[in-house]
Amino acid sequence: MKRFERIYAEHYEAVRAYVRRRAPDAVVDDAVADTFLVCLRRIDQVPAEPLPWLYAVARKTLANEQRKRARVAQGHEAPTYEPAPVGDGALAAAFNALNERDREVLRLVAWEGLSLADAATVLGCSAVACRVRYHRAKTRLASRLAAAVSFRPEPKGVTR
Amino acid sequence: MNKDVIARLAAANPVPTGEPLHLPEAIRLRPSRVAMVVAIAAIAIPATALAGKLGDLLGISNSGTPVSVSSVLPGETKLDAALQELKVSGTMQSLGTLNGVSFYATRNADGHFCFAMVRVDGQFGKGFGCDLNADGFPSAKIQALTFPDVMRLQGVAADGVASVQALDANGNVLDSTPVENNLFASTAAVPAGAATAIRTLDAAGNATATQQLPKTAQPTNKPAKPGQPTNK
Repeated sequence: MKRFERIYAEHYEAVRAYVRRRAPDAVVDDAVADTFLVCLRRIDQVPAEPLPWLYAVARKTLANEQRKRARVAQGHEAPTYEPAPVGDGALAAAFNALNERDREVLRLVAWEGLSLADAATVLGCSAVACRVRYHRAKTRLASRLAAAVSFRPEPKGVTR
Repeated sequence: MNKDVIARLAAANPVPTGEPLHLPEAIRLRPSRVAMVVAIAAIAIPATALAGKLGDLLGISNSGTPVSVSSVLPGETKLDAALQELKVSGTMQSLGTLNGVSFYATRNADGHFCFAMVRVDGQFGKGFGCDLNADGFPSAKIQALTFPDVMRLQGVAADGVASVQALDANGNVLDSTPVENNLFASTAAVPAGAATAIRTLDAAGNATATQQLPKTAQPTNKPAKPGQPTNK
């Protein structure tokens, strides 16, 4: 119990931030509570560095939440929630154009500040696979940004 | 260029990590969600011989009456399992109902004060938490317990506390409610995320303690988020 208390105190804020970056406010409390409940139940399995493990649990919790919302939608397309980069419209547009696999590995590195080894833990893949995924995602994001910069539409309704 | 992209993305973090840390005061487990993730069967524990002494153990005058956990949250039988994982026995003390909110409390095996609040009409659901602070409730520093994301000023107060206030970041009083029999339950809503602290006052109106609340989701004062939320 003491270990759980320490983990909770040290990582509550980080887990909450992780969830807030990926879920609407309405589900944040529940998702964070569920994540720490899993931690409590599996305290013996929690690694020495628990944060990537907690992120992985939170990721699965949010996936379950998304599936639940999809079931509630009953055949209709379930609404998704993907917080975008703020204060940088071009970056947000380029980022949102990537697929979810690319976005998630970039989020983990840029927003959670994880190493690629820790990101691999969260994503449930090997460190090598994570590294490849990360570099490809980064390249695709840079390419989309460069394309957006080079695209300058002609002004309409301008008399020359 | 690629490295710059990551730095640029980091700068556009919608929830920056540079926010000051606010350690949580209590673990909050929502019964409706607990039921979804707790799979082990509930184990019924008969009322213990300690029940008569629980009032003393709670550390407040309102000793309540023992009730089984299953009666605290009827229809939420799987919550029993979660409570046991938090080392809460099969019984809690019913402290009473105030303004439509029923309060229950106990101490877990580690001695932490745990309490549950259940709205009689079920409108705002139910909550359960344990105070994990070393100098936990009731103490000179911790004279009232509520849930971290205060949206209504409701909870349990120590002896001698006559009223409880919710404060914003500037120290302004958002809401104030009297304490009756160690319980407080305001019916006024506090804007989500607005309360940053709660203050307890004695009968003379003197502040006895001010407790900072853990930071919760507050999507305010942020630049506009393009395309958020996204409906695909």
